[in-house]
Amino acid sequence: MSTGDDVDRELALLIKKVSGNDPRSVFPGRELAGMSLRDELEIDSLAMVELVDEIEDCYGLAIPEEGLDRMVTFGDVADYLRATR
Amino acid sequence: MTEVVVTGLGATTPLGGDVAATWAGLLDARTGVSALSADWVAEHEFPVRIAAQLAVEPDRDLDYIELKRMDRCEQLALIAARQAWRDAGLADDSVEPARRGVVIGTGIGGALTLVAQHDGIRTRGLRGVSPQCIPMIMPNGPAAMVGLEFRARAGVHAPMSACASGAEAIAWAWRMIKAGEADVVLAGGADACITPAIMAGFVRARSMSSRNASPDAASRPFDADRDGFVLGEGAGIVVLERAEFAAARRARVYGRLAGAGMSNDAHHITAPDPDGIGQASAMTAAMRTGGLTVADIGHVNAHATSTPLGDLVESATIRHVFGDHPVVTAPKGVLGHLLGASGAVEAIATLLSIRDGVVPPTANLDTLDERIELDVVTGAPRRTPLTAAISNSFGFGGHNVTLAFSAP
Repeated sequence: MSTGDDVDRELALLIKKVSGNDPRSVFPGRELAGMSLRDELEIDSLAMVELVDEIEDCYGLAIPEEGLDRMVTFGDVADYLRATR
Repeated sequence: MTEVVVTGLGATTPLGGDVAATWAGLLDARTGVSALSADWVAEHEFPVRIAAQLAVEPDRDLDYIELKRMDRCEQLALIAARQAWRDAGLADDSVEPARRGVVIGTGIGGALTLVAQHDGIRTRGLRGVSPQCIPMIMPNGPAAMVGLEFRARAGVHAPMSACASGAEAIAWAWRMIKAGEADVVLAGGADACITPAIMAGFVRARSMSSRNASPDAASRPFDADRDGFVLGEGAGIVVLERAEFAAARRARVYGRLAGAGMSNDAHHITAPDPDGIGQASAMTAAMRTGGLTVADIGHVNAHATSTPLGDLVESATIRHVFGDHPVVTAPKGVLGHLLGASGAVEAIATLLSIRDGVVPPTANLDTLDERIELDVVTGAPRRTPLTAAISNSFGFGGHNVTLAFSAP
């Protein structure tokens, strides 16, 4: 999966808006897809709600709650967006 | 017997962003009270248009995420706790997490967040409320946030006794160490609630000064012309340590928390018992538990908020318990009333008075109320060697707390 596409860039900026950290500068040179939302990007369960709000506002989506538990990494969210939007 | 010492101090107040600036402000009697410029003051025609606002905004010390996920009172607690921990010379490996405690109280808690979330739901519906809001509003929030940062696994507690909360937190921390539950405890209080509903509540209770034309002169404890307190915001945190533990790591010691007294008036929800029975009991218990006598107490750092009745009852009680020999000061003349933080910030001032042998003046005390028969410092700081001193804090709900400190 590409790490340089629009979804990755937009998602990185939304994560930065929620957590204060741009994933691309937290671990420079690492593949974004494998980064753990909770353990590496400070997106815990509360912040995940904020991230979902941001994504929904940005993409005009309604993300069903039952799918959230399966989104563990940056790549999980990015893949979901690529498949859905 | 287990002794408890103070090894670290931290504060952010209307006088400065740290302990040094706050202490300098107290000694200079430089007021922290100023005009309140918020839009709502004019909008609602508030009869009180002054407050003791923080000297340094928290964004100097905190990052984006800390500012976003913490209520202002939690932010202030964390800032003061970090200062105190650093001041104590503690490193992460200095004390096991299982032997670290936190006790931090607040008088009001996350009022600013509550108001903002209420505004959010009215304007944007459910999405206008942050998923982070409960940890920001809950009154154990300041203690919990500090406990999390310092991994205080011995226990994190949040005593609530309105304006006595900060002092009560220190008293409970002292008990934790005495009981063998912890070796190092971060203890104190935080409040930041300069917002319309809270301010209006105090206005409606007729507790506040409305000396809007001269903010500098509004808070005037013990003065004949006092007309109420000035609402402030801030935090004070101390590091309390088991004396042997502190000695083993060769820590610098500010003083000993010799004793602590707590009582309740059981008289009225807001007004002090005019007979001062509960207050006297707290002062006496602080001495007794500290192995101190009336003659040892050279200084009283008074609660004195600048209300007509409160100052009168406290002064009569101090006189009754100690006579007229202690040198008395009332720091709220410059600090304003920091509510749940006040007892902690004033405990710090009391310790520094013992350390430096100097008692700050009581600001704006132009004419001592003729019913007050105490040696209150006015004008300039008073040099006086001190071996022991007490700090009083009282809160709505009838709570009385007295902390007794002595030289190391």
